[in-house]
Amino acid sequence: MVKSRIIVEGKDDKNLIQQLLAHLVENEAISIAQENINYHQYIISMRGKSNLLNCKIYEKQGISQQVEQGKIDKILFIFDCDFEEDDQKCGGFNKSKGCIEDLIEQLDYPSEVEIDFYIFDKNLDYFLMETINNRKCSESFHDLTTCLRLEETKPNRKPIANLYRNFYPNTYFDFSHDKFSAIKEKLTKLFPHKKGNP
Amino acid sequence: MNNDFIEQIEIKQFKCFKNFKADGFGRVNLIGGKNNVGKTAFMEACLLSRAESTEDLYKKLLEIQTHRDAINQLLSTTDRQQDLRRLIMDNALFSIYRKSDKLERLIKRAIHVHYQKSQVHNNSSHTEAEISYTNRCGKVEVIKNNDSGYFEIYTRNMPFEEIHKGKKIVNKEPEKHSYSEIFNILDISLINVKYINDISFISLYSNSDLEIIDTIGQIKLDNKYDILNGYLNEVFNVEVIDIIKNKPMLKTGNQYSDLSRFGQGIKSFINIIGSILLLKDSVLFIDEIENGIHYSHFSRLWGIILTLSKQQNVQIFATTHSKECIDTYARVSKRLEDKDITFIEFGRDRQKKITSITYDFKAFTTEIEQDQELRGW
Repeated sequence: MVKSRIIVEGKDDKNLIQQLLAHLVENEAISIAQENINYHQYIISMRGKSNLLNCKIYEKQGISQQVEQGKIDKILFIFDCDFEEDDQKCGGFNKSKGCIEDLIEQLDYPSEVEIDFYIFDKNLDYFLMETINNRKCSESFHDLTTCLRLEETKPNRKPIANLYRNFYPNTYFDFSHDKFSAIKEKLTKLFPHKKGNP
Repeated sequence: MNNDFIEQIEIKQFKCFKNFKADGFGRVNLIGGKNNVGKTAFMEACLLSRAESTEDLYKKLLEIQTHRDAINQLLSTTDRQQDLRRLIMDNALFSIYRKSDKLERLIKRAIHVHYQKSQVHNNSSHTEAEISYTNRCGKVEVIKNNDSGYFEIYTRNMPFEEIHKGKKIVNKEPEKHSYSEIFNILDISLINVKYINDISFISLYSNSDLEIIDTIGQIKLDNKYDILNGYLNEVFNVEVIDIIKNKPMLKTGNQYSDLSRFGQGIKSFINIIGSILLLKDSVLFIDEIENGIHYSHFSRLWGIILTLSKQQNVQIFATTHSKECIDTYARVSKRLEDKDITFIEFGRDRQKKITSITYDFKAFTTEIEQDQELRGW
């Protein structure tokens, strides 16, 4: 039984991770039992970055108990670093890294538990928009962002990313893009490998 | 929370438990977990911990044996004394402590059952010794330790040969009580006991005619007959359940039919509703609650259990393997805004020891919303 959990901020992250796991299974990088193929049970959404970085929530939601009693053996935290101006305490990459390291220390889980984290540069939407391989399309989104002066109002590409999702609900992001390599590598470590694969 | 409700429990050396603790129970508690992780044994321990007297403890031990081994008992002619002896010989090294909110109450109500296997009895205190018994023909002593308030029951395996530091010694201490003597003292003639109907423990075995007749009779005496019929009518369109010619019968469409013609589902409903109605201010244990019940009835079942258990002030512990049953339990308790519930998940820790996680209402409903696996690990 796989005892890994991916802890994410919210719904969008959960959807992305589900798609990524499906991609890894399809490419035989990992092996997941057919009955668990919707991957829900491996992903815990914390409803926001502040909850994800709050030690007390893990107690309240029973996650800490699950770790202590041996139900969870591997954890991968995935979240956005956001922007320094948005959050003085945990905004920006360096502060976010400090916050997650503090959390891991506070949680004080048994040494047998493998814990890792992945932080999206800026936020998930920025990340995703940068993985659009079609150059023309990518440039158009960039132009639209400039035109709408999004960077000046709120440095968040969520409206643009949502636009893309709304227009192409069935279009998967290009998971073969280099930008996905690091996160794919971390996800691969959580699950058994297909026989024959390293 | 009612004083009689179980809030936490410690189980030592009972069946699959070595040293087990669980707490945070609510009024209604659903238990999930894989096979052989002690879900039913946990409920049995809770049941034993509620024994009010030595006699009651023996009755409960027999009740457990009956539920565990109903088919074999039906097919064999084994007498009940032998069953109990086997049960005690196999499983009796245990102590169970039920804790309520008051420490005084804890001490008074705790029951300590001790099986003399690797220890010797010496002036009412137990000391460790290098002893192993070769004769397993047991004798039983029952002592109520007034200082601690525990009941202590232990077998004395006498006369017996023991190996003490490599030497064989025949213990000649005179016999004090045999099983039959104990039962005579307790005024229980086990050979004549055809069955024991303890309505506080429900399993598939409880769906026998004998148990249902007993329950219906008591329901009538308690003036709760209309309530039971009301629920049966609502869920199964049954007009009335009655005992006719010593058989439970259901009236549907103006005609009576033998209950045996109906499936297990309706019998389970009768037993569960009947037991809650009769067990005011008490605790009810239901083993594999989903047995025989179609998933479309789970919602109504949980609605009835949550409503009635609150009205009757009955604490419920139930086991299940069914995901639909677990999901419906969460959904209905949320709809009824009944937060005095828990989900207890059993599994094994990193040392392979049986352990559990108790999820309160908030943690449980969050897990369900996120479609997390709660049926054990």
